[in-house]
Amino acid sequence: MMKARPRMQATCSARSEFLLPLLFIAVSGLCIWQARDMSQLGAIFPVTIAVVILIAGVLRLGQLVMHGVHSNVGRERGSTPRRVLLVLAMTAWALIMPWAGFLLAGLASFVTLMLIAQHEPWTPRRLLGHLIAGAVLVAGFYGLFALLLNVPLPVGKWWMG
Amino acid sequence: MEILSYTLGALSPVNLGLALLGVASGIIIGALPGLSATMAVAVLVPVTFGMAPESALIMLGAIYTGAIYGGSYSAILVNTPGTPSAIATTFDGFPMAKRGDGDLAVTLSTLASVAGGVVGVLALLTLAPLLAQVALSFGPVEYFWLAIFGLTLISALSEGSTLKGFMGAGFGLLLSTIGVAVVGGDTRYTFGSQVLLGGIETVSALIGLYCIPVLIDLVATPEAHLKVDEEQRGIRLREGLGHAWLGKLNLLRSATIGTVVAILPGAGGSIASLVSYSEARRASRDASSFGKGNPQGVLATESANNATVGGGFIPTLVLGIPGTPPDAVILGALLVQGFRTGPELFTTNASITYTFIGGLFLATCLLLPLGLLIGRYAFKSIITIPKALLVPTIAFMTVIGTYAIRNSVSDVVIMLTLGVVGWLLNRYGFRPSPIVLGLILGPIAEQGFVQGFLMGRASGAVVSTFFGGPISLTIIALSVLSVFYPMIKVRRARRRGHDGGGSHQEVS
Repeated sequence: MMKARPRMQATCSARSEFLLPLLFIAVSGLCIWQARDMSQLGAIFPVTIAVVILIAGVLRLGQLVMHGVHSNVGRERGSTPRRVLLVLAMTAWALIMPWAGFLLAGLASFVTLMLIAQHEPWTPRRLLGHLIAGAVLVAGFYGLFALLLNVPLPVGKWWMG
Repeated sequence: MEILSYTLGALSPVNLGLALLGVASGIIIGALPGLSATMAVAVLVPVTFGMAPESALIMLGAIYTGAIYGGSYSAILVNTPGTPSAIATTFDGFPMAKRGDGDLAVTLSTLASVAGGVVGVLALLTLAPLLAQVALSFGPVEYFWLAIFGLTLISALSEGSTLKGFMGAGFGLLLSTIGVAVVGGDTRYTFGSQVLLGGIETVSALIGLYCIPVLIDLVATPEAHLKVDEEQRGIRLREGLGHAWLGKLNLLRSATIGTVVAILPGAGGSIASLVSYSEARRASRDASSFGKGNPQGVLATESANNATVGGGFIPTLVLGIPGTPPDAVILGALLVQGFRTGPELFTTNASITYTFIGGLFLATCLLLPLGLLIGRYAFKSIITIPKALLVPTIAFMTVIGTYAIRNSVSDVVIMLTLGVVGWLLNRYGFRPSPIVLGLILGPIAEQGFVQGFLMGRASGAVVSTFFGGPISLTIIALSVLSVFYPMIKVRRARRRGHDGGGSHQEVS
């Protein structure tokens, strides 16, 4: 009698285990499609890689179908709003930096990220301490990069008239 | 006898002071993500123009040594390789730090860096002309196979599903093709965007893929970043020495790999550390604990990347071909000082060359006290900084570090995008390491492949161009072994009855 194959445990949900290979197959398909406009020399490498991804994706799907998969219920969770806020704050920081300048954008983002990362209630002492530390850190990094290493950090288009 | 007296010339108070300063500043710069060893050396080159040639070279060598080592701090403590050479240090260094062994990981990294550095310098001192010839026998095809050999490490780096590893590496390889093709000049996958024309900068991608996921998870929970033990155990030197003694073969093998890889121009510390990591894992009896905080993983990668310092100088000094990017900068400094590379560096200018090699040895030895001291404070600061300060500080380092590479805000946006993609993929079981491996090896593989293909087509023998040379065949054999050895090992273990039944987990 044949032994039953053990079911695989997904890293996250069982559905996502199927979704990701499909996504990779779609990406490789897009890359192969895009390579039509390239020269033979330019296309050979990316097309080969895209085909390898495609094959790996199909094999993965086959593996999942054959073995079966169950969701990982014990995976780590956390605050999704904070995660989203962090990404948004950092993106806004990067986009606003050329306009507001490195120092101002940096200080504003530092405070925003500080608020996002704080889980305990703020006390005036803690807030003041963190703000001073933040200002010192921003100034320190600015000094190191702009003055010592001569990195041309953005001054800010708003202040340049 | 003359060589010895030249080498001892490095011990003059001025050279000693410069080596100390160089190592300390190198460690600090290398520890900051985005500031690579190349940048550290390049930025400080003008400082050395007024110095005596040997002192200038000693200082640059010391900065380089310090920066390569410094990259391990952020790799261990915040899962972000400070320099690309420290990529593989994150694999076991960060899990060690997370479970409360960050201090031990830093000590191990210091000991391994010293051991690897010494091996590299000894190779430079004794085998330089001989080893330089090896570098000359590597053509585009050999580089292509070397990159393929590097890609076979995916089977070692992808935990759980190897197919996921292949998809991840493929994704990294595709990312590496974005922009203008090195051979042929095609514009690829830019989707009409000017921003993507320059391609994806490797260090920005590294910062994004490794650091942003850590930040995203840091803010999600109130728990501490790293586990902190009630009892402070200092630098844990005795324990570290114990691990190093146990892994003496691992240290030696990794240092040898580092030295050999470094003499191949363009290969660099990242490949050296990845190859040595894979070899350490393969040789280990406890391969499954690699990636989960095995001290031998840290020893292997740090020994290999610091061995590249001495190894990289072999083709630089003997042939004038820089082994690693920082070597290219130092080569420029050497030319500014009025020296021509080649055999005469070891004859007519032997006094300067051997004093420099002595200085490099000195800088490597200085890593031990300086590294342990700075490492202890780095670890203490990371574990005591509250999360509300740690998160913006790391975010600041990632943004400014990425911006500083090409003075480009677009790179910061790309870094953030890759970070979010990396976090999502990581959540679904796609580790960042294969992606990074693809990103780093992609250009080397493509250039070697296309050039080899053109050479083969011109001579009417494409197949023998790729499969004809003894070096190519050796690397192909090693690649095949690298792919199939883990499977053979698992099969053997199953035969011995070690196979655990039930459902098998595919998670990290």
